[in-house]
Amino acid sequence: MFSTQRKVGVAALAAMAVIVTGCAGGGAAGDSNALEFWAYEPNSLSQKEALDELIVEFETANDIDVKVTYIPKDSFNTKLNSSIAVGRNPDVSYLDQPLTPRFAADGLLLDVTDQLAAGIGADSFLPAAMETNIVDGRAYGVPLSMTTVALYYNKALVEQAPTTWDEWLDSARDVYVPNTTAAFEGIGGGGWGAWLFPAFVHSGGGTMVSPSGDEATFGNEAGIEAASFLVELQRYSDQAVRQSENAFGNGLVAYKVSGPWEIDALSKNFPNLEFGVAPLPAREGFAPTSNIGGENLVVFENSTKQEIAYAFVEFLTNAENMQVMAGVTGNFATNLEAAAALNYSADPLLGVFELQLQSAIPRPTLTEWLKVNDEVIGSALDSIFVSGGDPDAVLTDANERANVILFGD
Amino acid sequence: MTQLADVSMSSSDDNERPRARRAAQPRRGSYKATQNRMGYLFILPFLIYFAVFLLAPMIMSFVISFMEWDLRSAPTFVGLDNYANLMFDPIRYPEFWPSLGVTLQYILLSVPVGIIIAVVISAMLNSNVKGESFFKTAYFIPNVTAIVAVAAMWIFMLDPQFGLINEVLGTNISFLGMPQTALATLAVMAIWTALGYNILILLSAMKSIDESLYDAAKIDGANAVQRFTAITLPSIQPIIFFIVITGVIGAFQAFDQMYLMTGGGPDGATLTYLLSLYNHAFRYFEMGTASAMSYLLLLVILFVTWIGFRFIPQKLD
Repeated sequence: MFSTQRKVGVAALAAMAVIVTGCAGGGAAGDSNALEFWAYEPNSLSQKEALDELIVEFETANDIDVKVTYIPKDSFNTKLNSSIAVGRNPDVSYLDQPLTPRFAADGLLLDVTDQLAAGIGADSFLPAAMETNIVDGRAYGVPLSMTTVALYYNKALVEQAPTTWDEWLDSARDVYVPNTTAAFEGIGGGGWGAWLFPAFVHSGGGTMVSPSGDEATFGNEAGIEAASFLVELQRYSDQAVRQSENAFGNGLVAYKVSGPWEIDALSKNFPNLEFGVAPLPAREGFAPTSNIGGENLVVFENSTKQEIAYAFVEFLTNAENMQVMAGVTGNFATNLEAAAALNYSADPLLGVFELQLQSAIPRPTLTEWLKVNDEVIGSALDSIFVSGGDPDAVLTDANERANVILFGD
Repeated sequence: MTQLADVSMSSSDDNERPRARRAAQPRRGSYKATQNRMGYLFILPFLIYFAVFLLAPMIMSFVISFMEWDLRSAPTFVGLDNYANLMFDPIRYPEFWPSLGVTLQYILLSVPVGIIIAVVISAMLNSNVKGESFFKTAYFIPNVTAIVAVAAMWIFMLDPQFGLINEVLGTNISFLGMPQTALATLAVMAIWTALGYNILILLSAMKSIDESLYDAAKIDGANAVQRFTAITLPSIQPIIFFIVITGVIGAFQAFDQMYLMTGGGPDGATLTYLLSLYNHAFRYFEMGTASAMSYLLLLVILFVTWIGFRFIPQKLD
């Protein structure tokens, strides 16, 4: 009996040991011998294999182990922040564009301005993408990938895409059939809508913040005009039609604003849909200007292998390997030479996005921008587009609140 | 005097015990102690789990609620600023009060109606209806189905153009797209999801009611409604109280549906307290603010639970 109890006791202790050992864990980061690299989990095996091949090439050339950790994009930022909290962050990692200024302000990122100037050069990259790494004139990362949005249109409903807001409104009136066909899908609500809205503000001649970066300006005349234009467009877009699942794919909506990732999804899931892509229409007298999203590659300040870590960043972003990385990330190459080699312009759809990227404007590199994007601009747009708020009053108020959050005044 | 006699008798009894029995006493104590140690050993994994994954995070988040901490840099002690800012700074924290209001609305929409429906269905199932097991299983299935699958199914059913619900109603309503209907729609979905669990508990309570009470009531001429109101309802009061309290606490923690189906929209109509808390913690990385929110929620839940204990009947009449 006692012997059995002892056995059970030992078993319980063993189980406990397993639990405790499990708790202790042993993350990849912090390995003193290997270069730790965190990347988004690629969507396909072939993308992962392509990146793995590049890593092997770098390891062989530099006689170093690179330990890559793939993390799903949705949980990447949380895991990265948690790793920083316990001092087990990687040496190199992907970093979402709007987080770069925050991380830089916290002193977490290596200032790579000098290395960049001595090496590949900042002018090797699309200026708008490079700008997402610049804080107070210093570079804290290298652009890895970028994307933007353009205008999708249903060729069965629209013969030719509009180039101006007036043309777009005319087309919207023509195509609109109550409860059957909506002119425009809308820009959505919350943070997503707030990410798309700047494209309309910029295409209307406005800015989200002043050129000196010390004042929010999205509530000025151009921003109000952009919001008013979208409200007008919404008049020809019944909610019950545009909010149906896959409304554009099902041919219920004439226009949609989205990124290049939509091309494959639409072609695959709606083979009968004939669609085209065009630059975003602009307000009369202004040029079509879109927004920009994507990721940067950063080296962490606490890395003990800063030199080789930065060499790895340049390796992945040079003209040759950037072509592979564009496939890995599924976005556009930021390296101008790589983008030219990939010849996006030969593709009638991708070429539009590439053209749009030439004049795209990145999000302001302000530390609290993400919060302003979601809680101020996103809420304001919801108030206008969903609850019928007056664009002038709502955006003026939102602009004031943004100034308080961003600059304390 | 009596006590002294008792002690004396007890002592005398001890003296009269067989020697062997007395000799065994220390061993018996030792055995009991061993048993106790073994008992603790067996619950040790749970105690470790409780300490590491529940107690420690609770204490840590309480401490963090007095800090400004973005996970990346060293935390800074800010005293009660996080609590004060949440409640009194609508510019930086515009969503605090509205999200609490949305959550209270959600509770009022989902809990009372859900319980009334569950009580009615339980009573029907308790009346020797054919296929009781089938119905119990059918009602319980949503409760054990992954919330992601449930959300996908409801989004499909609620589609304004092709959804089943609009087809049946002959309408084209974007239920999740309008602030007036979005929260109520999610409440209906929550009622549907929780119905099986509530029915299971209420039904087991109803089945434990003494049949002779119903027999006596029938002899006295009570009809079905009178038997239900005079016997069934009073008998299941403690269970109803339990469901109300757990339902309210669960509704305060509403998150999954909103996160998956509306993201808090349209225009903040479904931005519940917990979704707002999540955004502060894992989107803006304001850990101090999020921790303060969680402790403010604890206070609100304690207060509401106290009201429940104070005003809802919880004992058999």
